[in-house]
Amino acid sequence: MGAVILECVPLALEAPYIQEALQRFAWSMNMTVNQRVLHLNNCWPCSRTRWWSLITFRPYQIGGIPDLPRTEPLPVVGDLLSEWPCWPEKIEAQVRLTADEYRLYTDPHFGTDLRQLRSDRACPCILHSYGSILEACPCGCRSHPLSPHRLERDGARGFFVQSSQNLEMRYLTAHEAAMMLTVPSNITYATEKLGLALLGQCAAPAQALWIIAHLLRGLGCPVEPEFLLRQWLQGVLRSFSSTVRFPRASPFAELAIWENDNMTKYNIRLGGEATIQNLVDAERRLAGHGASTLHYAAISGEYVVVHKIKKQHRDITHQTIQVSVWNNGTAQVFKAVAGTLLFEFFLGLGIEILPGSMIDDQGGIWHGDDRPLHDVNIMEFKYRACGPDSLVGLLGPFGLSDTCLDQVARKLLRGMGTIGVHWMPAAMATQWSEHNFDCRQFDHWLLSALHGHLICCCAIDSHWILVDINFKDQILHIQIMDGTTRAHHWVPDMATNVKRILAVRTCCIHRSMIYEQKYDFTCGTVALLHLGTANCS
Amino acid sequence: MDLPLAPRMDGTFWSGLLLAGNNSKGHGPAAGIALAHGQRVHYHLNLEPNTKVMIYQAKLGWKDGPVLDYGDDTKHVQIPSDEDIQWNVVKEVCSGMGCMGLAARFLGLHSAAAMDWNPKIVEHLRDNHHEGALVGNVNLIEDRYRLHMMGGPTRCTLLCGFPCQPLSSQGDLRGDKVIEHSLFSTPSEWPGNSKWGQ
Repeated sequence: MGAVILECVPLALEAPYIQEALQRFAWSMNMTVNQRVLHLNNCWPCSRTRWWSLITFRPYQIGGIPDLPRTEPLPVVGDLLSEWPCWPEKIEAQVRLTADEYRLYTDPHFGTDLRQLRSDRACPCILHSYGSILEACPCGCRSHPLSPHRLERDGARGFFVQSSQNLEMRYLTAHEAAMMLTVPSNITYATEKLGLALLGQCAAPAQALWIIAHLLRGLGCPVEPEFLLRQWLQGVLRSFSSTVRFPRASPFAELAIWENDNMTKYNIRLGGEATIQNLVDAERRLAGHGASTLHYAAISGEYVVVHKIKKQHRDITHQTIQVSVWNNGTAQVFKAVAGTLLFEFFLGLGIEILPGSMIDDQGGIWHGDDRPLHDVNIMEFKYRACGPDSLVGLLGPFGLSDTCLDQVARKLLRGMGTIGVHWMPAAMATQWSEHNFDCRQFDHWLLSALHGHLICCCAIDSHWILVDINFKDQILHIQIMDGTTRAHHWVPDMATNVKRILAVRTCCIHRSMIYEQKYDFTCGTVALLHLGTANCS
Repeated sequence: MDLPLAPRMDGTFWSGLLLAGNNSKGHGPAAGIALAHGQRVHYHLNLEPNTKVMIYQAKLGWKDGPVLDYGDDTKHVQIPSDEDIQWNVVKEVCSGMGCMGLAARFLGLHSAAAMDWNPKIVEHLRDNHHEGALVGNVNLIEDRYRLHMMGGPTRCTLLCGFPCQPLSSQGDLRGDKVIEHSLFSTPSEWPGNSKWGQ
């Protein structure tokens, strides 16, 4: 022999009869003995601590063999597998836990080992009896189950995982165990249980490689054990990933989903082509503001939906505000939906607010149009009752004034963080529209559409309409956003003029209504709402 | 490990590593050294002088010391010199599923043989096209010989993950008392010791 490499459990280092025999053998053969206990979990998420001995001829000075390189933090199962692969039913059936096995493992009389493998831990040592403690050993070395007495005395060693296929508890499959033990996946096994038995008694190839590489280096070969080890481990991962199939929502997949706020469990049955990613996307859309993510708990096989709502987000749709109106010595209490403009609220009561007529609790004078921008207590205001004799015209022919629209729109655009969006003042836009969008005084505004979006609100027939003009992919896009279905016969003329001014050949007119206008006077409000949804990317 | 030669073994068969001496004087049996225990031994075997030879099942007599002679199943295999070690070849004993060989092959070495006592395991090795897979128990002399000859009697690196039952709770931590599983047991201690040390 040129060299002898031995492997066994760490106790071999302390067993006198082994140590004496080794020394006698080495002495008689003019060899030296190197010994080392290697810890696989230093660099791989599987516990396998083994004694290794390298016996070589005295002339070859191998030197001390270090332990496997340690990574910090120590690797855990989750570093390799975020989820357990799906295996064909014939394989899953072979490794599924029987009721007796499950009962045994969950009975504290048979040991308190961690039973369900966790993704944040290393895989426990896989033993020869893994998967077959209650049956004859598949390799033929034991024709009967381990005795209850022995199991009670020494504990039932072993662990299980939850199947991604059917959420039942199962042992690792042979390929999973092989990957944990750094055995490549190109090896086939007659049965899963035989594979587990063989793997349970194998020497981890990564450890063997480490020792042999040090032997070769000691012989003068230009090898780098660290580099070779990394290559081996990468190869193991590569071969494993080419073998397995990870869970997607296959037809009739049953998913257990936990929601984070109250940890309510929902069982969802997926079918057809739907995937987990579809669920995530749908959840995000449903969540609206903030982020919603779907986490897969690899070991338990369950999903957890985590909602993170933006701090700034206020859900105004279901909130109401109490408004107390003091009138002639009596207080009347009303409830208004949050987001309702003040003038809208009072119009609902048949009261018209006069401009510049509101005085807050600090003595400040406010215009009605400023209400959405500020949070104030109105102490006093001048008003007139709406009716046949009222002078509604004082506020203009439509709900929001151009000043209000400009202020809110600019604030909104700032909040949206949009770049390259130009807001044309509403009064200017209205005047421009009256010239059929062909007026030298305003035409230069159109240039901004070539470099981004020109957005404006123009009052046409006493009705605020939001217009977005932009140039994209050599096409001029004119987007009309209106809360009503009224016809806009002026748009083709507008498009013709704009094309001519900008010397653009192709123009595309879009019309959309995301928010429906339900009251005659809320066209400005709807225009602002549409501005909030404008896609200015 | 080779057995030490002792008078009580007179008439039995011995196997072990022998350093053949220089028998150029040509009278009487040649003398050599049983290397494992450094014992001087005479032999009537046709061995190349000054070479290391692995002796399998030589008939042991005792006449003022141990004398080896040919028996029906005696074989001897000359060990290549220290300069002829084939570092690129490995053989596995107690191979299991041959994981050490996998690592060796990855490093460019040639795994010439893999021996395990369990036929199912050897079948697994063969299913996976492992070269030189054979069923055998390293504690049996004939199986050692088969391993020695498998892939040629090269002087190579031996890989062995020997059974851990004597050191584990499964083996009740019985240590060297679990002789049937130990690589370090001596066949003479086995019950029913026969010609091949079984």
